Amino acid sequence: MGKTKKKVILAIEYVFLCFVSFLCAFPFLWMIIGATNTSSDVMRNKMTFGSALWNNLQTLLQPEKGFVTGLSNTIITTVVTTLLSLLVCSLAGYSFTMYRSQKREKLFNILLLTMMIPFSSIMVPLYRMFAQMNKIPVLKLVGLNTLGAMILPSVSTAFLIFFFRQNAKSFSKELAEAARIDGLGEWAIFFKIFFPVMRSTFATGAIVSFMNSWNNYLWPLLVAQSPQVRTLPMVLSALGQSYTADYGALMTAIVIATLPSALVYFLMQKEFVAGMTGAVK
Amino acid sequence: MRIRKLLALLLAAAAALCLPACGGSTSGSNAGKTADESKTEITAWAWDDNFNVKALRLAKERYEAEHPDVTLTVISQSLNDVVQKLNTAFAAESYDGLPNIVLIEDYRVGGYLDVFPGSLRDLSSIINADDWMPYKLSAFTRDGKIYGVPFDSAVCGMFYRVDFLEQAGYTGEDLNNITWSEYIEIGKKVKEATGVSMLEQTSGDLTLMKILMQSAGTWYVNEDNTSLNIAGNPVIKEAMQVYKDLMDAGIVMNFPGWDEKVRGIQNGDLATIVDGCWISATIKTAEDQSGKWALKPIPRMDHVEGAVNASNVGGSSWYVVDKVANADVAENFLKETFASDTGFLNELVNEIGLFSSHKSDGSFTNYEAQDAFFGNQKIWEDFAAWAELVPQVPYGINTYNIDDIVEEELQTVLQGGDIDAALSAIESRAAQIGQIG
Amino acid sequence: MREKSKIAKGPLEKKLNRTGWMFVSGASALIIVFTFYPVVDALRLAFMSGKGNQLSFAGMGNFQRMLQDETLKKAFFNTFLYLIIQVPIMLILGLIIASMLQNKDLRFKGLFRTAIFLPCITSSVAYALVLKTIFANEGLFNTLLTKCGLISEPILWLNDAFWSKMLIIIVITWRWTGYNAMFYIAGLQNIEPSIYEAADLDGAGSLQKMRYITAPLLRPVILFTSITSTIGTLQLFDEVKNITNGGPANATITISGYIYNVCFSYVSEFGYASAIALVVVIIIAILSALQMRVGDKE
Repeated sequence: MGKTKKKVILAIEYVFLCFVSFLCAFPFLWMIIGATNTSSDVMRNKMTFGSALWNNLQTLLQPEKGFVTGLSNTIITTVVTTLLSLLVCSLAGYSFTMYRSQKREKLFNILLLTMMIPFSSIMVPLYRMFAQMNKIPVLKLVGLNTLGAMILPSVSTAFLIFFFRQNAKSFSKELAEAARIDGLGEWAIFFKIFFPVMRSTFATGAIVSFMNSWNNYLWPLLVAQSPQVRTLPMVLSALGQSYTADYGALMTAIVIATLPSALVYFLMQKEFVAGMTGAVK
Repeated sequence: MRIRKLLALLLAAAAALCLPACGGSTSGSNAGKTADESKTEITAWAWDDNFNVKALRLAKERYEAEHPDVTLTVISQSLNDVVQKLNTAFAAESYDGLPNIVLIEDYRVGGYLDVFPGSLRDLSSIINADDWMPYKLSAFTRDGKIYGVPFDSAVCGMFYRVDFLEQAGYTGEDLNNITWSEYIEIGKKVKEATGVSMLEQTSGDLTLMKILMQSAGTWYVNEDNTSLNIAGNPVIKEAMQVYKDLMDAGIVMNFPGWDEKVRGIQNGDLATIVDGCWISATIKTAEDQSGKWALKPIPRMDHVEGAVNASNVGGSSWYVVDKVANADVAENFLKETFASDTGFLNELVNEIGLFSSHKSDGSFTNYEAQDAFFGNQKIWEDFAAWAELVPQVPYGINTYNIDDIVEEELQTVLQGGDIDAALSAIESRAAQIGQIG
Repeated sequence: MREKSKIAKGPLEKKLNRTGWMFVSGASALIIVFTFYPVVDALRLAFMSGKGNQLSFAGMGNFQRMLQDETLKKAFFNTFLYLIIQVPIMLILGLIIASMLQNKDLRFKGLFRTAIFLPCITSSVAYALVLKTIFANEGLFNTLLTKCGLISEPILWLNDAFWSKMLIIIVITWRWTGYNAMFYIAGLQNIEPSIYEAADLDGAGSLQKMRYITAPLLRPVILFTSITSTIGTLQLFDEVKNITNGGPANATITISGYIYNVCFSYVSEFGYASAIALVVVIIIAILSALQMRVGDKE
């Protein structure tokens, strides 16, 4: 292949990637600019930074907008879901790889099938199930209209189990064997050896779970009855739907709602790519 | 290491937030601001900050002054959210987190009353049926029991821009009690003379269809509130024709949503607005157009017997959710405010432009006020007079469901499809909607 | 030593087996309770009809109704339109981006990768609302096109039956292309660079390399992304709900959106909704089986 041809290809690639990157990044610029402008300026497509950020923030912080409540509910559900999800799914994935048995392999295949079931197909019965739980004293604590009800169904996902099972294949069995001889229990092997060694896998799992949970909309929408348990996506949706939508405040809310995922992603980006690479092996 | 730090950070954040928020999440319906132990707390939901939410806040002030032992928490939710929450909660028989008092649209309440009996409280004892317009009460009366307290009624009117109409050579007199075909002719002239559209159509909103139907005393269902009355219904047939004629005349401006519609009004894109009386508040936000607007009765359908130049569109009423604690207090709140306090209702005429469908009994002095924005016309007096003419119709329980079907079939009609066929299609599709039991 | 381990093997294996079950128990129990049980329940509900909680056995009634339900047909049509147009575009675009980022002469790789993944960090509701403002009738995009002289009348992205569908496709493509590209980037990193070097020596062009090396070696990843994208599209809800709310005149409604309406926006009909849900599960099972067939054949 000629050198010029190579250069031409490279140039095309630069142009294409720059264009795509611009398209991907532009809405972020737009919402950040929007956050500093008044509602009418946003509607007038003003493309320069304004000075309304402080006003927009004040609008958002009015208690009746429910933004703070939504933010804190989302943080709670996301953190709890992510931690539980990592624990439960990594244990299962680890087990499916490390303690191989035919029966468990079958179980794994059955669990994997659930990846094919769309949520909208089970939302009605699931909803009715949680409604029943409300009538039982102890289960009421995680019944409808609680954060628990939002968390529980998304803790264990076939995707994460599959993901950990795949990644665990690269974990050396000799290491576990050696630890066992040293007298470490199975839990200790998992927590003290597997966990630190597979850090990037856990990081990727955390990002995936965090983002799913942070963005979860439909199920929390069904479960939440009172404004006190609304989550961020619901608050955003309500801001956008109200009779007189304040687009400046809406953009500010969206920017704030996006910051945590951005933070998590940027902090763990290296581990994320490494973890993904392990998953698709 | 990074992960551990991040996890620690997240955990700390969660712990910090958990205490107050978890408390709120489990305390159910009466979760509100911290209050004295001795105070009874009730909650109410509504959806429009400048209208029904504002009315609630004003009622709260009055009531709490009289009853220092009661605190009312007013919560503003989007209309869609209110509907979905009520649907889910009633179906699940889970009343946690529901309010004591909720505003429900008249088109929708039938579904709740018939499908979830017992969810909403019988309020017959706090409402005097003789005080209200009968067309309003029928939406929430079952077996002689009245389940709601009227809030607003949207008697319709035709708001018009005097200046645009004048440019096309019309005076207010020319617009008095006209028919739709006359309206369309005027619309064409106006468009020609000014370039401005006569009417608006917002996507997903069948306001005009409902105005037309009620103006001729018909609806999707018959008097029994259940059996369908669509195929071969001459009113709906002509209503479809009116839609088509309007569109064919090219005098209608399309808006994708409420926001755009409001902006269109403020920009001066429309020569007339045919809508419920509450739209006056929105029109008045265009302060620079003060004095340019006036009000006339809506056009009447040409070929339908008994069609009048008056109708109603939408409107909502207050309800008490029976299974939520302190329902008695909530009932008493409604009793002393919206159900009987005509002085308060009269005040709301000025505060939010409320037309409550309470019969005029001399206490509504604010109806007589001249409104400079509308060229000193006494618009509320007009609305009150037209309200007397509004025919009573049964709303059934599936209005919005059928609306969506009608909207689809209307598209085929607008593209030249046969109206009778469309009506039959709507009826057969609507017949598939599940029945009670 | 050997003897010892042999003797210990029996009990140890049993113990490990027990641990194995213990470790999978949490995840499995949760999936069984919150996914399998609802599926079984949906199966039961699918044969009931009625409103709210007043359900009665209806036999095949719901399925007969589905055959005549024009809105449902529209929802299926729209969903499959999104599927057939959007998924291939997105996956091919993702592949192109990923293979471009493989070029070892390319600089700023990290920057490009970050930018392209950026849409994935937004929540569906958030980006739907942001893009909705950009594509409003008098929004930025229309203004831009008008100024460039490309259009004389604004495109009614939210009002027009055709353009509103296009908008949904554009919007999901924006959100998910980077996500899928990430999988391909990861997959490509597992391919030995020496294979490409050998191909270079043989004088293979980039298209040939794509056809004979990248595509076959990435096949499992492509299969995975196409199955997950298919499922993702079939449960599309958030974006449509927040951009067009299914309109105009149900022109953009999806199956999930219709199920939601039947249950939670009209007077609840859980039986009918479950019947629709059941059909969706069956369709996904068939599609996935087909995709795996095709994926395995090549």
